Parts: sequence; structure tokens; C-alpha cells
Amino acid sequence: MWTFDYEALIEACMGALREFLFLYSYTAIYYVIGVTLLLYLIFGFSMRHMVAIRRGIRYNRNVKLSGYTPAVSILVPAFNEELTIIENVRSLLALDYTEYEVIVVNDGSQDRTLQRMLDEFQLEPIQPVLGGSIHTEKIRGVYHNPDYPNLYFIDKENGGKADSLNAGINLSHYKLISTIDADSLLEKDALSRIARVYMENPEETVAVGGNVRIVNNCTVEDGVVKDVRFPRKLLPALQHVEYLKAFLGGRIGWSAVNGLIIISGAFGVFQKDKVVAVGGYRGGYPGEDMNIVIKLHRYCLENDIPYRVAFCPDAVCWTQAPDSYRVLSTQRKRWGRGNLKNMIEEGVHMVMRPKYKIFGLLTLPYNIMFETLNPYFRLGGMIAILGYWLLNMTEWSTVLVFALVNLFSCFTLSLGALFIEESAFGRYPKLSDLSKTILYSFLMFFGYRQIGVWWRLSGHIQFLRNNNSWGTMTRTHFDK
Amino acid sequence: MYTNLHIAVQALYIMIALNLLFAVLLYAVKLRAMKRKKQEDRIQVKLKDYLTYVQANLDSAEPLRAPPWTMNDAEREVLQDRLNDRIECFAGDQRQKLIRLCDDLGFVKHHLTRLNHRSYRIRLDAAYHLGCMRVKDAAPTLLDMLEDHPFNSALFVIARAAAKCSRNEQDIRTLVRLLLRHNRKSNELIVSIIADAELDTVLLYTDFILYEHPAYIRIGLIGLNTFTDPASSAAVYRLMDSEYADIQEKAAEVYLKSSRLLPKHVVSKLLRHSSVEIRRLVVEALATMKSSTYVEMMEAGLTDNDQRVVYACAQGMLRMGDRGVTALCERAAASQGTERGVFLQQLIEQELRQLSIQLHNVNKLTQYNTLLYAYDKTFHNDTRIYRVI
Repeated sequence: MWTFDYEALIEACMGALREFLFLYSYTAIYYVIGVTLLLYLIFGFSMRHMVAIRRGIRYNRNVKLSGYTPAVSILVPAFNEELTIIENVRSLLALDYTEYEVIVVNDGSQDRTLQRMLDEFQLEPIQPVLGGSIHTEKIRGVYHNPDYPNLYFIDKENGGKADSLNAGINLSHYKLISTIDADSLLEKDALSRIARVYMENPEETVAVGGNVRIVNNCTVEDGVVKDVRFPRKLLPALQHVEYLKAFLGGRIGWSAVNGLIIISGAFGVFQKDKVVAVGGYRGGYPGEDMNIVIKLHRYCLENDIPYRVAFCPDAVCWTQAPDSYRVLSTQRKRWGRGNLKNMIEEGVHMVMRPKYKIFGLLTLPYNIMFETLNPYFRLGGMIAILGYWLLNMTEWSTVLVFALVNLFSCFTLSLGALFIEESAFGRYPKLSDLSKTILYSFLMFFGYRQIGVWWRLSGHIQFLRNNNSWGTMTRTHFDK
Repeated sequence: MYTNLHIAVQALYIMIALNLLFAVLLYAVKLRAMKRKKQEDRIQVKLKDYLTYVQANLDSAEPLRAPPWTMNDAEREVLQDRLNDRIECFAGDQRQKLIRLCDDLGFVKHHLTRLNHRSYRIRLDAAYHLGCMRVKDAAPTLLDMLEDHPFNSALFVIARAAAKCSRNEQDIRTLVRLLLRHNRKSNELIVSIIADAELDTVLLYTDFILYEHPAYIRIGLIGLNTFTDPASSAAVYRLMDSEYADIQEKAAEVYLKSSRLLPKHVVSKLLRHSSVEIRRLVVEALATMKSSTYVEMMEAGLTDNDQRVVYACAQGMLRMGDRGVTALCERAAASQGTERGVFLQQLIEQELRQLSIQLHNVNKLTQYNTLLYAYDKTFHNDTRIYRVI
């Protein structure tokens, strides 16, 4: 009589599972080795480029470019920014730069952003003369006061950040545009420093990104960061080390090989005609800062236009980092959605195609494999570890050794980014600041990174559910 | 048996060692920077009186004296930096006195020696300092350094130093040639570098615009744009027909800036130019002149296809007195019902609103009365109006 052998079946399944987990372990190891080597490579480029940056800072200290710097239109999209907008605009109006205009775009704010701007700067409605024709939501009014000749204020229906930037582009009068977040503060010489980078190769430089630093706990007077201090709260402190690593350890290197995929929305400068040529900022979805850079790469490479997307780490913009779990998670989920959307919309058409050079062959594979798909590999890894333990395939000491190798190899990069910070910029004066930064660089591996994976995954789920809201960002006054 | 675990353990040791090394290096860098900062502050205090003496005696007839103590290397370095800053702040005799002081202190000799050092880092540092001190003797070596220098930021540091040290026009010509070899169109930066030369550069720029090479022409035009020399208007006139659009624009800009009188046929030609930027520039130039002679031409500009030109025309006419505002109001009334007409009328009303809140200023009051009279006369011709004189 035929009997069903459950034990044999279970044994066969377990064998297959073991085989799968065994193969997976190799895949995971090669994945980790791949990502680490690539990160080291980029970090190597950053280190190499750091020497030139240090020289630039030292030897251009007294250089006077005034009179020859390109005129810039600074675009400041604002949505419910009543707490920070005045300080921000005042800091922008006091920039150490020859010719520029500030265009604040109120994106249908529900708070008193509009009224505060009108009252503070005594703005009157004017007849707008639009130079561009990118489609935007309805403009309710354009305001100006001849006493502030380089300040314009656009009031429009809500359409998102990208839409606001497009409205600003339409009104802008100059060939270069700069995007600044309304909760950020530009250093007085930030624009001059970016202008110097641009002027070295103006035709090919389609975009230059600035460095973003965390302003939480710093003292701000009249829109100027006076006393630089390490963030007091846990989340801003972790974001501080995260930003240091991303900007100094990563973006310097990526820009050195012309593979920079993102210029932070908080501060960047772009050639207006190129931005218009690619149709302006893509509306209706977060991640517009990455999207515009990808489109610029694509446009230039497809049309054989020599170009570069540069990064200027000594041009600093100070921004408020979210200090609550809720706001930070909203921001990170939004970034996750934006990244996925950009990869689906643009990335997949360019990845691994030699036509797109470094961008298609290195930047995008890196981004897709190690940024977009990162949560799946990490989650897969955790499940696999559980599997190894349940199936008795490994010992805890083996897992620990591999985890420590991974941890220390990543920690080296954090220390490397800190080395760049200390040797080239040294913005944080105290020894205790360095100790805290090292400590938080280490602590971020225990919980913060794992939560980051979860946020990114949640972002992907939101994307699949067609949730494309921006979320609420809570603002506070800059510390005085 | 050699397993993956062994490799991982070895990798772990390497990683831990690397981390420790980086951490030690980091603290070393930080402590060094802090020590340096402390030392600089201390030296700054020590040099305070001496620098006050330097500042106070910049205008005296006597040469500046060296500090009355023997300086160590750190003190010399800090003093050199402070003197560099002051050299950049001053010009003329004061700058020369500071340069002479640097020479007396031995800074010039020291950096001239370093300029031939094997290390590129030291050569670059010497180039920067020699540039600050305007050491003419360094010019040939600095130009030699540029000969085979790759294109990067340091190229411009050396170029600026070479410009500051340049002995004559020929040095600048060589400098420009060496920079243009890289073909990066960094023309504005090059002109800003030339501006650091202690030479009269107008003739050089005027000569550049006669070259065939468009890069020289661009540099010449950017350079001339900072001068208002009527002589250059004739020289740039032909460039307004250049085959390069950017040269046309730059030439028009220089021409409009340097001409005291704009012939009507030239204005008329420029107002028909295909470049919006040139049309806008010419309208703005006419507006600056505030001469009612050009009212008819500005009127023609109101029919331009580009709204920015129309706006500039209207703004200009509002500043051209009685004739200008009357012509503007009439043109706005004539095109009533069209998009252009509404735009012009709104501009006039906007100007009226803005002037109405500045009536404490007599000039604004006069402008307001003139505009209001012309506006009412044109748009409300069925009502009785009074002109306040």
C-alpha cells in the first residue's frame, strides 16, 4: 500500500531550504563586499579631491570676483513656513554677492506665510513679466517693493515644491537659478564659492551642489550662524553624522567622476536654460531634486553636450533637521518613495547602457542595487540569519564575526568622512564635538540604520499604494 | 583548513586596526588644528601692537620697520598672512609700502627659493604668496608653471599670482594664451584675474577684440564692459554682427554702455535684432538716458513680441517725462481690449499706485501728476480733469 512519507518530504524541503540559504549567504557576502568596495572607491575619490578643495579654500580667501560673477536667481519655495521665512529671506538679502534676486514662492500655504511676507517687506502687487513658460498651478499674485529691488514674492495655488520652483523659474530674470529651502540659511559667501566653481568651467557646468549642514542647536543671529555647536538631541545628532558621511565621504567623490545623482533641494545652482530644456522640475511627486539631476545627465549625454555636475563642499547651507521621530520618518519615507519613483521613471532606461557613461554604468547600478533595493537585501539578510539559526546552519560567533566586519568596514567610512571634515573644514571647534561625532557615528549602526531600512521600505509600500503626499514638516524658530 | 571564517576574522582585525588608525589620525588632526589655532591667537596678540603700528604708518614718508624681535617660523607665517590680507585691501603707495616691508622681512626671498622646490605643494604655496606680494621677478617662473599645468582649481591660483606679478602687457598676453589653451570658456574668471594685474588693461582689451579668435574677443568685451570709454564703442560696433550670439550680446552691451549718444539708425537696427536680450538692453539704455528724443522708438518697442521688452519699454517711457507717459497712455488706450493693452494699462495703474504712496517726494509728486493727467486724459476722456502744476 502506498503511503505518503511526510518525513521524507519535510527532509527534502529542509534540504532545499538549506541549499537556498547556503547560496543566499554567498550572494549576500558578495553583495556586501561589492557595496563596500564601491563605497571605498568613491571615498577614495573624495579623499583625492579633498586636497584640491583644501587648496581652493586656502588660496581663494582673498579673491575678489565681484563684477564678474554670474547673476543668480534664488528660488525659495515656501509651504507653511511662517516661523522661518522672514529670517531666511533676510539672510538671503544680506548675501555677499554682486547681482542676484530672491524669488520666494508661496505654495498655497495655510498658515500666515503670505501675510508675514507682505507685512515684513511691505510688498505690493505688481504686473508680472514672465520669461519662462513652464506650466504651473494658478498664480494668484506677484508682489514686489522697490525698496527691496531684488526681492520678489509669488503667491500661487498649492502644487508642490516642484511646481513652486517652476513658477520661480518662469519669473526669474537671470541665467543661473539657485534653489534654497525656506527652512535653511545660506552662509554669506556660499553663493560666491559656488560661483567660483562655476566660473572655472561655465559652459560645461550645468549644476553645482552645495554642502548642507545641520543648524539645530547652533546660534543664529540676523540670519547668520554665529556659534556652531553639535546638535543636542539624539535624532539631529545622528542626522548630523549621516549628512557628514553622505556629503563629504560620498558626494565629493561622485562629483569627481561626474556621477553625482542628487543635488540637495536645500541648496544648489543650475543653468536655467538646461533646466527649462528638460521641462523644468517634475511635479506631483517627491524626489524632484534627484529627478532634475538625472534628467540633466540624460539630456546632456543623449545630445552629446559636454557637461559636469559639480559639488562645492565649502559652500554651506544650514538646515533644520527633524528632531521628532514622526517628522523624520515622514521625511525618510518620502525620500524612499522619491528614489523608487526616479529609478522606475528614469533610472531603468539608462542603467547599464554605455551611452550614459559613468552615470549609466556606475551611479545608477549603485543606486538601484545599494540604495533602492537595499531594504530588501537587508530584510532578506535578517530573515536568512533567522533561518541559519533555526536550521542550525551556523554558530552565533560566525554571525557575529561577519556582522562586526560589516560594521567596522562601514565605520571606517564614517571616520574617513570625519577626517575630511576635520582636515579641510574643521567647522566644529571643540574636541568634545569630535568625540561626540565619533560616538554617534558608531551608535547609528545600532538601531538608527535599521529603522532607516524600515522607513525606506515603508516608503516603497506608500509608493505602491499611490500615496504621494509630502507629509507635515514641523518648523521651529532658529535658535537665538 | 582555511575557511571563509578565517578570512572574515582576518578582515575584522584589519578593519579594527584601520578604524583605530583613523581615530588616532582624527584626534591628531584635531589636536594639531586646535594647537595651531591657539598658537595663532597667541601670535595675533603678540603682533597686535606691531600691526597697529603698520596700519598707523601706512601714509607716513618713512618705510615700515620690521618687528623689534626675532620672529620664529610660526610668527613669520602669521605675519605674512596678515600682511597679505592688508596688501589685498590697499592699493597705490600703501600697498607698495607693505610689499617693501615683506621684502625687508625676507618673505620675498624665502618664497622665491620655495618656488623652485621639488614639491608641487610648496611651489603652489610660494606662487600664492609671491602673487600677494606682487613680486615681478616671479612672473617668468609662474608663467612656466602654467605651461604644462593640468586644468584644475590650482591653475587659476597660479594664473592669478602670475597676473599680480606681471611686469608688462606681454606677460598678460602670455597668461591669457596659456589659460585659453584649456578651451574651457572661463572668460569671466580670466578677466577677473587680469583685473588683479597692476597694469592699464583698456588697450589690451581693445586689442583683443580685434583678434580673429572668438575667445580673445569675448575676453576683450568682458574686460571693456567694466569701462565706459567712448573710444571702445566704435571698436565694438562691428562685433554686433558677429556670427556668435553671445559676442553680439556682449558687444551690444559694451556699445550701449560706452556711447554717450545713440544714433537713431543704430537704435532702430538693434530694436529689430533677433536677440531678445539685445532688444531689452537697448530699451534699458534708452530709458537710462531719459531723453524724449527716443520716445517714438520706444513706442515701436511696445509692439515687440517679447513681454520683457515691452515691459522695459513701458518702464522707460514712464521715466521720459511728459512725452513718454503721454505716448505710453495713448498706445495703451489704442490697444485696449487686447492682452497687450490690458498689460500696459495695468502697468500704468501699478505705477500710479506706487507713486501715490511717495507723494512726500517732490519729484515723485510731479511724476504722479504728469502720469495721472495723461492717464485720465486718455482713458477717462469723458470726465472733466484738472492738471496740477
